Amino acid sequence: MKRLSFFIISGLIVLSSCEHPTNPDQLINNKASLPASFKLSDLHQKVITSFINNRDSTMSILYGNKQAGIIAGKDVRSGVPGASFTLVTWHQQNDPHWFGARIPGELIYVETLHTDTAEDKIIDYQKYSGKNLVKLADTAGRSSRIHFILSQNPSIIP
Amino acid sequence: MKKFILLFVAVALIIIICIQFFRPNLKNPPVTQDFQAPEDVKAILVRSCYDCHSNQTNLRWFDQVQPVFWQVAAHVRDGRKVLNFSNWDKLAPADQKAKLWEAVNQIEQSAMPIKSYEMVHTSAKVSAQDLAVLKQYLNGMVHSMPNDTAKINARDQQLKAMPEALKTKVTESLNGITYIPDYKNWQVISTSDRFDNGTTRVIYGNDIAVKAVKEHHINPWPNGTIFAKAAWDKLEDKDGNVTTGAFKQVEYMIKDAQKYKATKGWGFARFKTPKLVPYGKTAMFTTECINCHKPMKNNDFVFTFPIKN
Repeated sequence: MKRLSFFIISGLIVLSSCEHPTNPDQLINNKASLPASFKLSDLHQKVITSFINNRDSTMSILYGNKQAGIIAGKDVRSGVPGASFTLVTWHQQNDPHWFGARIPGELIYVETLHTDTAEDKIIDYQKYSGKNLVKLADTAGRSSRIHFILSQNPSIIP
Repeated sequence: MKKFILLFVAVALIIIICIQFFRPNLKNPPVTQDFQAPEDVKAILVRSCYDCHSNQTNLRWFDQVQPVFWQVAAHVRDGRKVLNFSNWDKLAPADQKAKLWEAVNQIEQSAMPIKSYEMVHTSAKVSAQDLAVLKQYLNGMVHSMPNDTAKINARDQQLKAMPEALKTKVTESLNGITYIPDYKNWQVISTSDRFDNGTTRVIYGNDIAVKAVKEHHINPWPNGTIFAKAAWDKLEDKDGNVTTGAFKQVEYMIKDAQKYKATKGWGFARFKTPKLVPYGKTAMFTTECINCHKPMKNNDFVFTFPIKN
């Protein structure tokens, strides 16, 4: 009898408990989002590749325009003028929706690289830091970062 | 009035007694190969999962009272179809692993064990301590393999075959969804480092999806939203740098509340390898998709936390 009444009560609880959709604000990954003022999506660059650094627990996506796609991974600074790269790097965080996955956490920095149209050489490397992507005046390690960005092989994306 | 109630109770009683003679044919088929794991792990799974996910279903007397028994039998049949620890040999090693991670995720997201089952079979409840044991067991399966030559070769083979693979005609999934080549031009919604299965992923969204993210209109996602999730092998070097290896697959989720009503408003498709081979043996493969996405029912069945950019 005890079990039967328990069964009935449990059944009622199941029937009466209604679930609510999660608030969309809680589903947006705000920590990893770029400030609207940066307008990355307006550049319409394509993904060239993505990579992870296990030692630093970071993950990155390298974007580029059409010209960038041609010279990506070749580490050449000339040949295809007008290439434009954007590299976004985040700290990793555990995915609250999937045990077994890590997703972007805090935004660390965005780097941009443009090759010259006329002289076929690097003309512009910029680094923006933190949640608000503040432009850094000091671009120490500039040449190694340029080398790093230009030497990333494109992913196989059929 | 009293007479009427008495009559009603009597009729109900007769019906209940009668339906006891109509019983579902629920048997325990032979165990071809039982799942093996350390004792503590196995004990939790047996206690919490085996009633519906094995051929060792332990029916209690109250499970066998009609009309409940019909529902119990349906649950067991469905449960065995999705995951059966008694036919472990029927799964490839990679699929065995994937099933375990999915199972533990279903438990973590409180989708499993099914609440109505758990309330009656209180011993099936997975405690926080039990969950920790299961997670530790899975974490023990993750090994980093720097400079994995098999994976490097797989990537190189694909690179060599690329020009040929690109000639692939438009391929169509068994549920009528065709491969959408334009995803490469879409914006990124997120990226994911899947250490459970050694892949890395980029999740793209079409313009409707990107706009919805900017406006926080993502629960539910608007009709016309399309996600494309591309996956690659993780290639790790000795310094812990992980790059993308062989292309594994691209998966789509297409939102159309009417057209895909049967799968909660989403059309699913998966195309494997650069040859874009459609996934699934029958059009029913989408049951597998929605089953895995069910724990996200309060999030419009989407796992991804989108990034604004």
